[in-house]
Amino acid sequence: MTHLTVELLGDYADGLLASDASRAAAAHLAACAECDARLAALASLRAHATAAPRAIEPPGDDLWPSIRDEIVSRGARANDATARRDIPRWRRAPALAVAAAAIIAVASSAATLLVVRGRGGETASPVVTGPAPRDTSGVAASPVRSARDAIVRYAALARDYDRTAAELRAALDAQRGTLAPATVATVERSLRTIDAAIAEARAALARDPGNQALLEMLTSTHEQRLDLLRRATH
Amino acid sequence: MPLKLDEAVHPDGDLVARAQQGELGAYESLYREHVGRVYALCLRLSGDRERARELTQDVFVRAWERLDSFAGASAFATWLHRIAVNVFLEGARSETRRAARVRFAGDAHEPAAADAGIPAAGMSPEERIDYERAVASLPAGLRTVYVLHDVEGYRHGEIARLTGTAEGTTRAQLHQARRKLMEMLSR
Repeated sequence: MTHLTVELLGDYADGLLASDASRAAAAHLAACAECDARLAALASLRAHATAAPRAIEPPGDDLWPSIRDEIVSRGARANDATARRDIPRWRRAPALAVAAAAIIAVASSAATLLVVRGRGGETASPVVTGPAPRDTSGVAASPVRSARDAIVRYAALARDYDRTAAELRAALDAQRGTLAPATVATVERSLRTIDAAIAEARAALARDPGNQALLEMLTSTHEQRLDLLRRATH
Repeated sequence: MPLKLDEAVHPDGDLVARAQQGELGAYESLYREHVGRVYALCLRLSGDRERARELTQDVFVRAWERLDSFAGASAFATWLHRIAVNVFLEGARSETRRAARVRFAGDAHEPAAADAGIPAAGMSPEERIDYERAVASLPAGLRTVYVLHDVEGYRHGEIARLTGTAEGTTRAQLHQARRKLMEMLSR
């Protein structure tokens, strides 16, 4: 006689067998004392599990004082972390800060070149330009003083950014024939640099969503992109 | 005064609300009420008293940190139980990685001793001690599945999800655990 495996006995006891298999197992158990004894042992084991006390007081010293102390000390460390969040992330991420500075320099240089644009022959000689790229978000360009201000400024920019950028890009493409090749090359190179900085800032912000300094930098680089396109098309 | 329905369903409601406001005294009351349950689970899962004490502390610290996420959809005890299982499994995974790097010959594991004060419930003290010792002696993976399924009542699907394994694997491990326990208890 082939006996029932432990797996089959277990599934039978757990009610997991299909009806046909369950009937077959029951028929075998009725005829096989050995398997029936093993089922009884399994039932006894399950009784042990069912009867196991659900609560056991920890032996030894009371655990609460150490739990309380750990909670309090973590709370103190959390306060320190809050203070650290006031330090702009890009001061703690030098590579990103350098990239941000480079973006500002490149955009400024491109704007400088455009003032003297014309057909053929222009060189990238530095010329003093007007004011630094203006704030196009509609929010006063005073220093952002709160996270809410940063969010409002970015939201205002985001509302029309894609449409505005697309229109300016189309205008630039339409005017390529009127611009010196060196100017076009400079503008394109500047746009690529700005786009790379935007991508990097977005990735950093995705990793650190609450970082106000990153949001401000992202907003500024988007504004500089729009400003560059406006200067190139006017 | 008749008990309000919400208090019957969530008897810890007031204490939880006060703890969520940062009241450590209320949280201590919750600790006193639930520590036995948490320790029992940690003891059976780990098979070691000292480890169970460490895990119990970890559970209550984590629960404090996540109190804001307790919305009352389940009983506080159930929510705490889930945290305990997760804390144990995370620790077990870390321990597996550590042990894979450092192996000691003859590193004998001492199962939870009979003098851990485990009370008998419907069986003789000797039977209870033999059973608990046998469970503690199971290999870690088998013990986890056995305790979660047969003692704590988890279904295979949930055990598989928690342990990151397939349901077929947890069923095979349960059968293996039961076989080993029956052999030990029949001696």
